[in-house]
Amino acid sequence: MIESVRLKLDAIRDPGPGFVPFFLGLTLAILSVIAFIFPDRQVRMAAFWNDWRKGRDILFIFAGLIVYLLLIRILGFYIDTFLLMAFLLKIFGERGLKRPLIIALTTVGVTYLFFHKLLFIPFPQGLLGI
Amino acid sequence: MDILQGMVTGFSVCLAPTKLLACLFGVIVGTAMGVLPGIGPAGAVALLIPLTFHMDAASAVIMIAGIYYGTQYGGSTTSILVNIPGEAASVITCLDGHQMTRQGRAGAALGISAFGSFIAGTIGVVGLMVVAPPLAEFALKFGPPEIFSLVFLAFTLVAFLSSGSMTRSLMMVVLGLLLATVGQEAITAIPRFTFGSVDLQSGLDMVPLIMGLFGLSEVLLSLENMKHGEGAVTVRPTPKFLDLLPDRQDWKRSAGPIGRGSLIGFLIGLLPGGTGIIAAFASYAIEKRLSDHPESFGQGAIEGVAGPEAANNGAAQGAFIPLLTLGIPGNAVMALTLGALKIHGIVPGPFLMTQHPKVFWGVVASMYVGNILLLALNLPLIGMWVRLLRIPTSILYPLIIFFCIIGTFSVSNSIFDVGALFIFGFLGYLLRRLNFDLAPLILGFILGPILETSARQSLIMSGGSFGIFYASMITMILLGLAFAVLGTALYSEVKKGKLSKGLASLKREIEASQEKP
Repeated sequence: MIESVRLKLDAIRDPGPGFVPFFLGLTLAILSVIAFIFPDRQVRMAAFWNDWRKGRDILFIFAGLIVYLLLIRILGFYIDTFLLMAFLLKIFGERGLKRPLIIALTTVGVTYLFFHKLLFIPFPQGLLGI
Repeated sequence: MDILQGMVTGFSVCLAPTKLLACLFGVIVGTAMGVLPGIGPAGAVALLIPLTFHMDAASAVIMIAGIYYGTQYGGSTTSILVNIPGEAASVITCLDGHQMTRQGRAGAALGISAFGSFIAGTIGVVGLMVVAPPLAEFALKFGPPEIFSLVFLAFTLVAFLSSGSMTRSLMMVVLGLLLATVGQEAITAIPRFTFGSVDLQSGLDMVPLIMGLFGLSEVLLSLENMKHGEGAVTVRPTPKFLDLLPDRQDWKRSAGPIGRGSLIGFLIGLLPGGTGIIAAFASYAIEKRLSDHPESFGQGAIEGVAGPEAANNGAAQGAFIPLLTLGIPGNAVMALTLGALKIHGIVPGPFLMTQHPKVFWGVVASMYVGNILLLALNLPLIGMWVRLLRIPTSILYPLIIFFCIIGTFSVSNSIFDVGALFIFGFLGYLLRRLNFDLAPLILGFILGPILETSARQSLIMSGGSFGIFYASMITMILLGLAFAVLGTALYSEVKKGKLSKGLASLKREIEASQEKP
């Protein structure tokens, strides 16, 4: 709403760019108050309050995805994706190291052959030029 | 162009090799996605939308349509065989379908489900052919005030029919509308909510938003429900092909439910917010009420499979009518289809039939072809579909995340969009965890620009007077209906005790059937 006022609301006969977002923001605020006063009984608490392990895994995945983004220009798409896939496979319950690494390697290989060679999608390269 | 001429055009389009291939790909992938628990039609379409960018508009919509009704077919297979609904609309099929499997009648259940879906799909396509042209002609009378009123009605209906309270659904609609305002404003080109970011100048991209909210959040929710080390599902032996053909008694008991389910599904699909889930539940409730032996429902009554399966496929066909004729998507999948069409420079609505007749009639004709392909594929290949369930979820879900990243990146080669995918994925997870329905959010995002433009054009036309919104009979009726829906929702909230008891009872019945060894 604050940003909308900065964008200008103007007159109702010729609404400015901030007109619609302002009233949408106001509507959302009102609905939020209503939802707060009359809560939905079916709302469940977020998992991480009930089962720390589940919440921990979700946060690990999110953190892993953010690290993936930060490293993509350093390591390059293929190495970064290989590490991400191995990480995700372990988080989702793959035991041992051999199978996750093979699956991760296969995924990257198929990506190179199909998406890069066949569909010509250019993936970001890292400092090693890969 | 009359209906017959249109269908000739349509078949000439959809029987072209590329379109036929798109249809075949759509129904195969749709069935596979429907079989796999956790990925519903919206998630499947969201994951595959990037593929449509390499196709022409007709092929894109034909493929998406194939995926949509393909998931309905696939979802029922796992519901019947392993008591796991492949997608939400197949939940009700678990009640009687799996009981039939336990009685050694899996073949009859699968067969009647496939044939019922086929018949409903065919009826739905005929309905589409008959209803769409006059509706499109009527929609030509729509100006900005009428468009605004129609979109407003669509939002209220979607919010009313979504799961959870209407307040929360409306919050999602408004959030979607707000997300749609990010970027350069349409009329003045002034950047809004970009906070100096160059990447946000053109607004939030649809693909990472949809793939994050539906695809990535689904995987995160599934992780929560998984136990570590959980393998694939144990599947009973699948019936042989000849065992899948229903006998005379099965047909006699199913004919009425299939007919009624087809009609119920089609009519519910026409409504914004009318999904396969609602159609299936409505059909089940009606068949139980009409049955001479209602106590047999939940114990393996074939009517409890035939009706809901026909209804959810009928709804899938009916949902295309408001999209193709009015340009108003009634559910998340239709919103995604609208987005895909817009990317190809085609705006569905009353002019679609006249300006792009090959797209319109090609899609309609492809539904006939798609339903035939699904019947031909689903029955003989049931064993193959069921084998998909043997893929460990520990491998499946990381692959889905990978496909989301690749899909997002392939659209715009933008790391910013991949970041947006992750943000929306986490946001979608939190919202779903807090019991918010995401379909209204997607609808708000897709229809937001239409709503805003039509509202501002109306106010400019009227010199700022809101009287323009009740100057014509059409706007009065549409807005009247919208406020009636809001009033009904308010009344329902007050009487919530009665409604939630009824739903809780049905939910307990479903949970009890899932727990049976």
